[in-house]
Amino acid sequence: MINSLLNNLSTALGRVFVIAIVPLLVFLLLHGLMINAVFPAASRWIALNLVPEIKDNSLVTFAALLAIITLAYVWSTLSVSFREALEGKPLGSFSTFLGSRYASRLHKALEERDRAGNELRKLATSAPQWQGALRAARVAAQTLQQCTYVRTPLLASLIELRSADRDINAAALDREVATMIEVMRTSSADFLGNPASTALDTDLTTLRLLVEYSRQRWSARLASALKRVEFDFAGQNLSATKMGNIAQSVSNYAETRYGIRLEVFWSRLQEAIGKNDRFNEQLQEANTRVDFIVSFIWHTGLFTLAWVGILPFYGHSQAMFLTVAVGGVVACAIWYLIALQAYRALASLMRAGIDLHRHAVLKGMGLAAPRSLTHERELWNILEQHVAYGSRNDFALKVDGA
Amino acid sequence: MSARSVAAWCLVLLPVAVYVGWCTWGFHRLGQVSSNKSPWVASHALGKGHRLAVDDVARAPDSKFEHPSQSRDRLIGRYLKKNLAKDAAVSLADLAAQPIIDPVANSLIYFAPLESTPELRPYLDAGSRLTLCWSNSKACIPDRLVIAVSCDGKNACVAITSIPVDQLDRMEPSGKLQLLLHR
Repeated sequence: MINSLLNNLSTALGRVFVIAIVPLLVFLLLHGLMINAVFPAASRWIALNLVPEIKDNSLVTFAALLAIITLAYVWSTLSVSFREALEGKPLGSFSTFLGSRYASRLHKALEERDRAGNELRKLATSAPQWQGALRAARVAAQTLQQCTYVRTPLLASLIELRSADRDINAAALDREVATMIEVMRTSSADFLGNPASTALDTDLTTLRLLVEYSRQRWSARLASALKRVEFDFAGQNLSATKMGNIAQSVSNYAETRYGIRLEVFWSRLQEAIGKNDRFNEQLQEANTRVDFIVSFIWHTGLFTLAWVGILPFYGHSQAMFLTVAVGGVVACAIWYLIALQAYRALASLMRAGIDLHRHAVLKGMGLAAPRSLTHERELWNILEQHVAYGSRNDFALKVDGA
Repeated sequence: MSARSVAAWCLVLLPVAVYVGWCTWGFHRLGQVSSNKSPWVASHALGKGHRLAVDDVARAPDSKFEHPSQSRDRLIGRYLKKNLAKDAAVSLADLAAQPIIDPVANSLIYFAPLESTPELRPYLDAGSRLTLCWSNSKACIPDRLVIAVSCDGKNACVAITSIPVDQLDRMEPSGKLQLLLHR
């Protein structure tokens, strides 16, 4: 609902202006309530001089409205700076230093990714072999008319891990499969009427299900770790804030996948994306959402800092002070978490935008689509040299692989 | 965790520590305000409904700590909720932004405008007594107690009083209102 309201207002007033004026009006109201509570004399002056019904003061009222509109416009022009500040960009190289506090988190995510990847690889190669070996052992044991099977402690512990929704690694499964094959040298799983044989049959099915469970679990963990590594971080290049890392992940994606330096080519990509109306609308909507929430973060932060600074001197209520001091920080944290989610959605769209529209940029520059990814990386590199540094390389020739 | 990472965390947490420190100090300071006695006392006896003026309050002789929230400006223009004796402490808790009007049985609250008799304003206060007459009515409503005198920011004042319903029924007031102040 808020989205459609924002869209309607955006159409009428301009997206950037709405992003600025709606939060501004909300916080002007909140500041007004605080002024009324803390400075009654000031609120009396406002009531006397700025209330529109008082005709004598229409000039002052008009000036106040004009000031609000001007403030909203100035705020809207600063929206990019506000977002960049949350990304830690103004900190420059210091941002990388502050970003080092995320190093252990990244390290953990990388470890998780590698571990999940390795387990999944082992399972992918071993599972068919296990299945074949178990089937062969079962067939070979079919002629035996005996079964002395008792469930192994290892299988019992694996079943427990499954019940507790915990990881089961390939090595443990491998050991259990080897044990089962050893068991089937002397015991048959198809000896009808024998309780031990029935238990063996059931446990063979359980083992197969455990392998499948393990594969699904590691697959989900790999997806989650990949998401964190690829979309929450930009390789080893860490930024001061989480939002900065998400923002950098888009540039990192373009660079590592296609060799595109986004800082150089983003405006050209925007032009190409702009021609795809549906996609462009989605991208603009996601962008509006991020800017809108970023605006709320700044307003909440400034409101909190201002009143936490003023109240000890001019306030009279501990409860009011505590509400502003704690509520402001909590609200800021909530806005920031929402902004991160919105930014992840925007970054995802930007990555899709790069995937889908990069060739349109090349076409727009009069270049043929590259034949392979290797050629494409080379082409973007030459283009970057040409566009950013004025290099005189003949890139058309390079595209052909000459 | 590397030393670099620890240093980065310390730098990030430094503003957080400053904020928490400031909030603790501010909370403590406001605690002092609420427990602190008002630095203002009534300079003379004041009646319930009286609109506080600058010369109605004086600084308490033993007042030491004055928080901006206890400034005299915050008291002026507000209405007393109760009678105050001379030298009694005057605090915001004793005052209301609007006059307190207690309902009177079988009476109507009447807001008598002072526009036609602005010269009465300096002499009128809660507790004054007025006789109300209307130019087209033969009789007057005598000796009504003024509950409060309420003024908006533009000095448009009204004297708030109560009039028994039966008196109004008998009189059928019409025409220009005239107010007579009892000494």
